[in-house]
Amino acid sequence: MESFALIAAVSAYAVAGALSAAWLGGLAAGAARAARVACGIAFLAQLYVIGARGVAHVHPVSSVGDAIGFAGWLIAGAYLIALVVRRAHPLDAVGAVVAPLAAVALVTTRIAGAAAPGREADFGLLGRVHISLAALGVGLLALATAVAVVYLAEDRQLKRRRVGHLVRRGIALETLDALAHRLVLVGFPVFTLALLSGAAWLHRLGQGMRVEYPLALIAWGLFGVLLLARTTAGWRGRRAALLTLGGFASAALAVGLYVMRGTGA
Amino acid sequence: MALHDLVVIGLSHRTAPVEVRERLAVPEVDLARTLAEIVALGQVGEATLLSTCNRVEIVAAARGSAAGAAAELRHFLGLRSGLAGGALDEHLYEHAGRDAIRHVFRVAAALDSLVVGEAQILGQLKIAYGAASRSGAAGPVLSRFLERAFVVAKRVRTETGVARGAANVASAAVELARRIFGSLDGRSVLVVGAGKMSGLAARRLVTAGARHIVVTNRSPDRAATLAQEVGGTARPFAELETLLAGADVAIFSTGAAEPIVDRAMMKRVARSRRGRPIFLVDIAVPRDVAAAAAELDGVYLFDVDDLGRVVEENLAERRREAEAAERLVDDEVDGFSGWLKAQAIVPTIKDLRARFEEVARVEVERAVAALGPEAGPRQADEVRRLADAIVAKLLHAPTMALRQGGDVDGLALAEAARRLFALTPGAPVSAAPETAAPATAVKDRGGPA
Repeated sequence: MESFALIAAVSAYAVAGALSAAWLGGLAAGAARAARVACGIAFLAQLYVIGARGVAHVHPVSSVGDAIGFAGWLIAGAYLIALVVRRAHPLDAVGAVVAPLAAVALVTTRIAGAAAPGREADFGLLGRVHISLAALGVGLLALATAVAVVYLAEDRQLKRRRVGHLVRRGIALETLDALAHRLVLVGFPVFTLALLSGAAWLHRLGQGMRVEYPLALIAWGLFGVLLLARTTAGWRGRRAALLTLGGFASAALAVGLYVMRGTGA
Repeated sequence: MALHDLVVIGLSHRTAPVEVRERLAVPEVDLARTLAEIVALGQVGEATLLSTCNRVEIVAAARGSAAGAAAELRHFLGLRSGLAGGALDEHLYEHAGRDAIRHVFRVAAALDSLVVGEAQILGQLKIAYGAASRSGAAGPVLSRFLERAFVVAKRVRTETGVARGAANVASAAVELARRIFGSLDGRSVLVVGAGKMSGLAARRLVTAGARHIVVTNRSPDRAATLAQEVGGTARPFAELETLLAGADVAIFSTGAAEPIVDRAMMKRVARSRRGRPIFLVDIAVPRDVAAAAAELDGVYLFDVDDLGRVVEENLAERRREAEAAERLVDDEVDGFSGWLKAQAIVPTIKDLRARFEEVARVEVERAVAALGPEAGPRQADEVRRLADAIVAKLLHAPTMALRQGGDVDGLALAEAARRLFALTPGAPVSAAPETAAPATAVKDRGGPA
């Protein structure tokens, strides 16, 4: 049943993302409504998975994989709450980003290997804190990056003096820019704490530097430059979006290497 | 009232050139007097007159037959037009019954407008209805009808995309500004040149929330005049670069032969803006802003052709959305037709039931009396139950036939039932079905139920 719920959640997230994207591409408003429903179903299916594992005494961050999936679930939940609070259609554009993100996070859960009941890796408190912070921080930065991608796509259309469905139905450029900035503002300190706790954790384990750590530091540096340049030199818009993409690419590479290595710590 | 009592007759931009339309146009101040003339016609019970630059039409509830009312209205319009020998007829359209309902719903929803989805027609129809109500020309039928038309128009506007997207260049500029900035509240607008179009676009931006309007022009007097019109301030043309640095939206419409803003100037402006985007609306021909300026980050430049293309795309989108709107209108026509039919059918069903029940009651009383005193209350109740059951079973089929009959069939059956069972309002039921009601009594029924 848990496997079925997991498959249902991934499928429903994928369908929600595809429908939102199709709506942005010009499909009728019904597509956006269907996307909301699909995202809601996926969220509930994943809630079932988390709940079932909880009953089996598996903590949501018992492994890196679990933590990534849990972060995706939190982001999808935040999006659904935002939809309920503000029923404006432009928010559906965010669904085209959030739903695939949550789906990818869930798939990563399987690739990275979710902890089996009774066989959770013994990360200790510090390890769990690090994994939780890293998953949340990378999740928020991923969201910022996704918003930045939408910004670049809209910017490209407006620069070409074409007003396609994306511009008509999407969120205004300045709003996207501000949204991405806020997400980085929140995600960056979380990511910083994740790096610090990760360094402390590695030190406690007595392990040396790993290849993903410099990559994570590069990502941290790029996001730091982004925030600094925005404050001091007014970097925003397209330039900020490209820097966000660069920073996230580095962070994603770090996470990817960690996941592919498949170690418990 | 019967469904076919609603009549629409008139002409529009689709059927008549402006030379003909202007002959029938009725100024708002003359509406009451003209409506009084219309309802004075013998066959017209209620009327509303819609007169806009694109259409003149009369929506009427006929007192008698729709054909009779339409003929009178056609004659009335012919006289008003002053065109000889029925020359107006080729331009007139005429709708009755269900077609009339559909036509008015479509007009109210701006599906029959020159620009599909435009907002003015609904306001014009409301003005027409208001004038008809005040003058007493609109009664219960048209009131119900037109108020439903307003609801339909609102549904079409909110539930479909027919009203989405700008339909003219000035509105397109506002729409694009929103796509860049989101809300326009408190935004700064710079108007460069004092042309009519730039003034119009500036006014639209003010309506959309922009607050700080600055006008600059080579001629300070014209700048001051436009600034006064749009509630802004006039500044010297020499300050153009500084003014651009402080604006969110700049509208250009000078008569300059060469671009007045080149890439180098815009680069300096963009640098001083520290990444804040700027939207340049260049509606001047020749263009005021060099195309290369748009290559800079945060600079969004649309010229008059670009805006025209946006408008065209919006209109195409509206036309696509109009299909969904037509389906919504069809549903509403069904709903209103059903209501109208019920106004004619329900009284007939009630009268039919009352007739049968009264006959049964009289016959039951007669039978109970004939049974004599030895018949107890139980036998009397049995007789009554028997009579009620017979009445219910006999009425079931005709009632269903009346309810389920179509717009035309249902009304024809209702009329037949009235004739067959001599159902005249207020007639003593016990006056027996043997007495046939005069045909005129049936024919006279009509008008609002």
